[in-house]
This record gives sequence, C-alpha cells and structure tokens, in this order.
Amino acid sequence: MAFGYESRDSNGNLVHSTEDSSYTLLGTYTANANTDHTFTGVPVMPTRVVTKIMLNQVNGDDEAYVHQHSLSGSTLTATVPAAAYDDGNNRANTVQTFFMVFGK
Amino acid sequence: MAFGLQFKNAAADIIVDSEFPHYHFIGKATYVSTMQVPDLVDGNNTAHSTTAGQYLSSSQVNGDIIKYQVDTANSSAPPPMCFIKPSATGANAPRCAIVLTEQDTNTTYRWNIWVLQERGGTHSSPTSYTRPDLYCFSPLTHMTAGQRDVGSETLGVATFNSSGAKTYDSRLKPLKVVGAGVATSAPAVARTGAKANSWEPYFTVDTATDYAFSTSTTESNATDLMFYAPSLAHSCQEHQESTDGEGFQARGYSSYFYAWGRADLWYCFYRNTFRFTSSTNFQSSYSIYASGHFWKSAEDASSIFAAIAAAALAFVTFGASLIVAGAFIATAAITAAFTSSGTASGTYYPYTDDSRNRLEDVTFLLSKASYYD
Repeated sequence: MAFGYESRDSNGNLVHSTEDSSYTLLGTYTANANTDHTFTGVPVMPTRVVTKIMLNQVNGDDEAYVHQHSLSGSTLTATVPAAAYDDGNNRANTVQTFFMVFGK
Repeated sequence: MAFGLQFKNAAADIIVDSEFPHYHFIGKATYVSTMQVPDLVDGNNTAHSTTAGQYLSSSQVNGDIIKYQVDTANSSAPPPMCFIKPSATGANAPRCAIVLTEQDTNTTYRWNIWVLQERGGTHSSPTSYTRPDLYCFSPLTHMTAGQRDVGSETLGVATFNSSGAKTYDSRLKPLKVVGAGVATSAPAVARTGAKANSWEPYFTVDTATDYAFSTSTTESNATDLMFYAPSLAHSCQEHQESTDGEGFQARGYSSYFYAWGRADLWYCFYRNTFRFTSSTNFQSSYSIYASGHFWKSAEDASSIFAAIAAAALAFVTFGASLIVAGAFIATAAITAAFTSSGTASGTYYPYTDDSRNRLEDVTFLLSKASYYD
C-alpha cells in the first residue's frame, strides 16, 4: 500500500487494513415503540448510511410497522409512520426500532 | 477532530476514528434449535358439508426458524450486529434473514437471534437447507471477558476515546465492511401467480427485486461474502374459495331437503428475506413464516337458498370469523404446539392481502467470513 494503515498479528498475518474496509460505525440509537424521537450529535461524514432493525418483534397478530427515519446534519429523526396511527389518530402499531449509523 | 486518531483509506474515507465505538468480532452465534410455526388449520363441518381439502395447500411450506444466542457484557449493550454467512449462493440458494432480535428473559445480557430460512419441497414433504452461520460483532465496551481475550498476542494498535474507553483494538478483529448497498423496496407482494387450484391455492414466492453491489477490489468470491440486512418488510396474502351442495335426506315422515355451503380461507404470512445470486447481486424477496387454512360450513334444511346465502355470508365475513380462528389458536392443542415450537402464538393474519414496511430502505452491509475464520 502506498499509504494508509494496516495492522498485522505477531505471525505477520494481516488483521486490518484501510484498503479492505469502507464504512465505520458512527453511533447507535433506539426509538421506543409508538414514539417519535429526535437524536442529536450524530457524527457528520461525507457519506453515511442508516440501518435499522425491529427489536423484540415476531408477533403473529400485529402490523409491526418500523419507524421511518431521516438523517440531516447531526440529527437523526425517527417517526411513527402515518399509516400506523390508530383510529383515534394516536401513534400505534410501531415496534421498538434500533438504528445504526455508518459513515466514511 | 480536535484530538485523537484517524486512519483513512486511499479515497480519504475515514476507516478508524478513535472517538467512534468500532464493532469487533465476538464469535459466531451459538446455534440453539430449528423450529417452524405450527400449522394453523381448523374449521367446522355440518352433517352434509364436504370434508374435502381440510389441510394446508402443498405450497404452504413454512420456513425454518433457526434460533441462535449471543452473549454480551452488560445491560447497556446494543444488540449484536450479526452478519449472515449463507449456506449457499446463486439463483437457487435459500433466502434467509434475521427476523427476531430480542433480549433473553432467562439469561442476563443474552440476545436471541432468529433467522428465517425458506424450505423447499411441499407441505407434506418439506426439505430444509443447511443453516447459515452468524458472525457477530459488538463494541469493545460491551464484549464479555472471553470475547475481549486476545490470548498471547501483544502486537497491534488500540485507540481510546476522550473518555478513556477503548474503541479499537486490531487484535480483536475489527469489523471490515467491504461493501454496502440499499434495497430500496421489497416486492409489493410475495406471490403473483395463479391463485386457484381447487384445494391447492398457490403460495409459492414468485417475486424478487435485485440490487447490484460492488465491493472493494479484493472481494469477488460470493461464497465468502456475508451480509447484514435485517428483515423489515412483511406480507400477508390469502385466497378464498366457496363451495356448496344440496340433497334430500330420507327419514320417513321426517325426510327433508337440505343445502350446505362452505367458505375457505387460506393465507400465508411472509417475511422479507435475501440471498446472494452472484458476487455482485443481492436479491430481496420473501419467505413463508406462517401458514393457515380455516373454513366455515353452514347448513339449512328449511330453504336451499337460505343455506347458500349463509355460506355466502360466511365468505364475506371471513375477517370477522378470524375471531373464531383466534379461539382455535387458544385451544390446548395449538397452544401446546406453539409452546413446543417456542414461537409466538397468534393467527399470523394481521391484515389482508397487503404488505408493511416494504418501502423502508434496507441498507445491506457486506463483509467476508474468511476475515474471521
């Protein structure tokens, strides 16, 4: 490699190199069920991606919506989808959602 | 950054930053067991209604629910990040995905991870595929003592954040993401094929969406790739049929004409699953999580037309009759079946002929199993 970083173990085996990796974890955030959230302080990088998973969810009888999200600057916003609202226009039917933000 | 350490690659991407809680390899998840959601089959018969077809369709093949466990160090540990190393790749490889991530209620700091993997064959003769491996990652601060053990290795680089917590240790196999992509939508429904075939409606998944990806130049072997792509979308599809008949019941002075009607409802509950079809293509589709077949029979001896009308009513009110299905779910036999399988009980019919979360982006991250073997 012309520049960058690589580490090797005591046997000389390559463990990590800046050439064979791309994204790095910037932060994790948890949105509670049926609740909107605004997370601040998300590190800013030129390129970021967000992944999300449903926590504690395999239920046979609910609609199991996942939070929608948007990432702008240092703010990650998680919202209950409008389609998930109940007949009384309350936030409902949305599971706990765990977010991971990666960047490079 | 005001202080600390960053490593960048040739494209100036930041690969290591001492302030960030980098994920490190904590081992493969421990395999626990393989189960399926029990068959959801029930209905009523009248004196003369047909008893044909009181089973699941041959295409209603529930996938394997493969259960794993992963330990972490403390209550504040985030869920482990589990990459699926599929047992096969290609156009005929089994689709799979993580469908459950939950903290175990019996063992502190343990996570239960369930993978849904489709099965082949037919309902009466299903075939399972080799289960995938889960390669799991966690920040250093949440690893158990055993996971943090570096043995006798003394060479390497470690970084610490401004609070003094270790954030990176090259001896502990940091996560290497070799590629990423976004599956912007799951198919609208799981199957579009012809629905009707008497007592054998069609539920085989026949929709998929492909997403091309690229990896860093050193990665080209699909069989070594593993993916992180949680299952968010789900779909519920059904098929309804009705049938009826009439006749004369000879009983001397009590002879009578009768008519009967029967309405049937089959359905499958699908979860979004994935596979590598090549070293450059990631496919999003569905696999069957649960299957049901319920029927409702009615009979009337006073009027042929009244019986048929009753059956028709049953047909159009099947949604409400799922209360009956729910009652069936609560019966001792099916409760025991759910308990035995360790799956959540329910009808698995949360909505009708639709999907949820299908337009939510699924960011898929790629890594290589050989880095950690």
